[in-house]
Amino acid sequence: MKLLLSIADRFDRLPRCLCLATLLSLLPIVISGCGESSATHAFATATSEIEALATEASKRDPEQQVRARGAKVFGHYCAICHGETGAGDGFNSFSLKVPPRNFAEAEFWTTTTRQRTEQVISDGGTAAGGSVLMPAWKGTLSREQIRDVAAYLRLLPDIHAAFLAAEEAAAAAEEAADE
Amino acid sequence: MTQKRLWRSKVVLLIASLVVLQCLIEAAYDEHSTEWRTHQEAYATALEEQPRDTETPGVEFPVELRQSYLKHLDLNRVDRCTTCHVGIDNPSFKDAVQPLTAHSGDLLTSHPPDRFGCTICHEGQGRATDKDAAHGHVPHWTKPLLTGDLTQATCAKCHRDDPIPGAPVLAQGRRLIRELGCTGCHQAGDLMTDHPVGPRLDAIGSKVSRRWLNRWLKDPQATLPGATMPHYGLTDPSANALAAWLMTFRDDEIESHADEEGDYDAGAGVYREAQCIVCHVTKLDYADNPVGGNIGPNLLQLGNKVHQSWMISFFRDPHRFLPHTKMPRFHFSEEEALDLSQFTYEEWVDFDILDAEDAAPELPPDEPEQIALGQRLYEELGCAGCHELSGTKPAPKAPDLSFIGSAPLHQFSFGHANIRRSLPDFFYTKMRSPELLRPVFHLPRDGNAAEAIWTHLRPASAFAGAAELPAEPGSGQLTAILRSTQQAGFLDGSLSLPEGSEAAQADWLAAHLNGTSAFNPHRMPNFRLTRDDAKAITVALMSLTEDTVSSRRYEVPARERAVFNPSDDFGRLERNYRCLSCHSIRDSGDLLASDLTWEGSRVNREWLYHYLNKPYSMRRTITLAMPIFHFPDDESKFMADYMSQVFVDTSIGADWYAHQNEANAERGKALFDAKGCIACHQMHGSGGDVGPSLTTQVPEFPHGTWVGDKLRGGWIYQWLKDPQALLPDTIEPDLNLSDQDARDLTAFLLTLKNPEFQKGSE
Repeated sequence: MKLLLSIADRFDRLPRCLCLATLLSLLPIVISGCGESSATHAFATATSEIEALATEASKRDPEQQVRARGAKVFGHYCAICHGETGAGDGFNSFSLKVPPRNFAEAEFWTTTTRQRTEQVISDGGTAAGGSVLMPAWKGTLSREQIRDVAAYLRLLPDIHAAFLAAEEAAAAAEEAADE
Repeated sequence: MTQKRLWRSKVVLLIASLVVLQCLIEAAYDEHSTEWRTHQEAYATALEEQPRDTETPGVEFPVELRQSYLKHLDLNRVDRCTTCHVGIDNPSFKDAVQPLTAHSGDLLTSHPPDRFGCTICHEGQGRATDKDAAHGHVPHWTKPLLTGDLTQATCAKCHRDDPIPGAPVLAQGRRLIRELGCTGCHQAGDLMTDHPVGPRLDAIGSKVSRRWLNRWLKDPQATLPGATMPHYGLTDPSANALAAWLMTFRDDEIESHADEEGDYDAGAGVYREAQCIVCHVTKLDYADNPVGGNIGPNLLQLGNKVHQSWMISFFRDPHRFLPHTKMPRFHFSEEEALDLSQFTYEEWVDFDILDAEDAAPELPPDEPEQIALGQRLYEELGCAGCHELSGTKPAPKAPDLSFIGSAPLHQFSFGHANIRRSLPDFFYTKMRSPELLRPVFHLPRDGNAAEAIWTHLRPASAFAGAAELPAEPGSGQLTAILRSTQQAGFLDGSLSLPEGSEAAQADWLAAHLNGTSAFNPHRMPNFRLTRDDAKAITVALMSLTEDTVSSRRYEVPARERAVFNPSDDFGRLERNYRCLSCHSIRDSGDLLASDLTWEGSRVNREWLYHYLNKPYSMRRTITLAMPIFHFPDDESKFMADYMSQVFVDTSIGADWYAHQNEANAERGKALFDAKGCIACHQMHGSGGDVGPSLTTQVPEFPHGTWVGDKLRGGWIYQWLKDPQALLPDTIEPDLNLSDQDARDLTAFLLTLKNPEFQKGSE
């Protein structure tokens, strides 16, 4: 601003109004230019911790969401017999005459189809010639939930393997700590 | 000369005109190649490339400004967000990169953008069309964009209910604001609680050990993991002074029990009957994880904290000491209370702490000045916000939070925190590390530096101790300040003023004190919150705004809640035994134990009466059950009668009562086998342990009760038809039974009656 006015002063004998008018027409452009650069500076800092935390949850990809939903249904309804990681070792499994299916065996998944899995969940063990001890869930779970949990079951061999590896690592760490 | 000047001015004019012309051209070019055009073109290309049926023609996608105009009176906004976010309602853009991404979740189906727009929930500057301006990241725009969980803060603009479905983070934040006692000092709209969250402190001197109190005041979370009391950053001398004053509150009646001794083993029996573990952590498992409930405090170091004499009085009548506690008033005799206190005192004690205390030098007797300083600290820190103590002033008022979410940014002091200047960042930092936000003290250029430091010390009266500032200005004053701040523990006792001019000394002192909390005018303590809890409170604070929508078209009124608080005899008994600490009745209480709302329609009166007298677990794998209260007979009779007559819904099982003569128990037995019920329920010694046993055997209780003794036919029928309707979270599968099947199965279950129980109740 000062600079502009001092330039204007030098041309004091010129038709002043003309000169000032030109300068004034430039002013808003100059000022807005300055304003913009400082504004973007002040606000273009890295995302704050609170925002990063807030968007974390919404950024999950769809496959993970199916997995999370399936895990929720499995944990609530199935794990009590089939085990937390699907190895057929839930706490109620020991009271059952016919042991619950072990989903952690990768081979099992080569002998069955997704459709069949969904059918057994919907209509119970007898629907596929299995035991009556597996109830029909179609009255309790929505079709969507059954689809989610069926998709989740196929991930159980990997989840169970990861669980075993983590347990082993923890045991090894404990042993190392003892020594 | 004139010619030359004229020529010069012409050149200047020419240059200026050229500049203006260029600006105009640039402006026009800018306008043509705006960000949003690029985005829309990218969207159009992506649409073209999408695989589609050859028969359906491609949709024409014009590149243009898009907006939703919400003309209704109190919304009156224009949102042009969809100009860039063109794909928000196109599910096939779920995985596209921003700004073309589809809106996450299914919120848009219930909140269509043409009716609600975007900024009502997400804030930001709806009319703007370039990114920074539209997201509100420009100066003077007070409501920048909210994303992710932060968006839940705006749900409360229209939704009056609490909790709001679909806004769990907001609900968690509101719950925390109530539970942490924020409203003891702050006003916070409808989040106010009706009683202080901390225990009443009368007789505290007869309750806790002095060394424990010193440790606790210095660092509550380190003393008791999970403690709600925040960290005040007290120095050793100030914690000691505060403890000295609190210890003066004594009760002779309690101390008269000081020399009594009980029987440990008998106390262990009382402990088991009272089922303390349901509410309190009372032991550690093999991996040192705490075992027990979280309704009451962790008891593992109770013996290090509380005097046995206080426990005796407390066990007999907890409500006298803690009027708002969830702990019931048990019917302990004087002897039982004494035995239990003996067990408590010996069982839950950390011997390492005892040894360390014994080895430590004895505390010097408290001086009257210390006690006086303690009282000033109690008032200054705002302890009265959470604790009741006779004869003390109410806590000093902290800033009103009722509309804090719409307060202008310049009202907040960001101190020396290196964070973005925005409200959510301020709240989050205030929750996690309030000390970062304390203002920095600047020495005045003119005037007496020592006096300026003295008046800014916080709180001058409390921390400066008894010392007075000498009247003569000079280094004598600075030395006095140094000494009192050392006494209050802000500065290391070995420091002394450096040689040099008085101004240099004042600079030195101010710089050292700026590193401590001596100048902090804010009382806000550090709650040591986790990141998620701090985030939840941030969301809840952001939701406290003036910016509410009151139009009937948008407002979602609060759901009516039936609060259970009768003034009759049952209400009196409930308040005595605090049934609602575990059970729920209508919308009140907790879901730890069964819901009693329709208890009268669920169980037989006879069974209820027996159960109240001698509770037991229905599952052999679970030993926890309701405590044995030793109700007087008239009380358990009254409660059984009341519940079976008042907590009744005649529509439950109405169909069963009308058609029970058509039921066939034999067919029911066949169904019972065919449906695999035995997988989850025990019957005559075989079966699973997921649901309750159908033939409960209780060694201590010779009768035992079976399902036919306990449940009413109508309830069983209704339960079999639709279990989730009666108990939404139950994992009992809904087997889609026909009416006749449900009737037959009910008839079979009702045949399961224990002949012993039947004999006993006759």
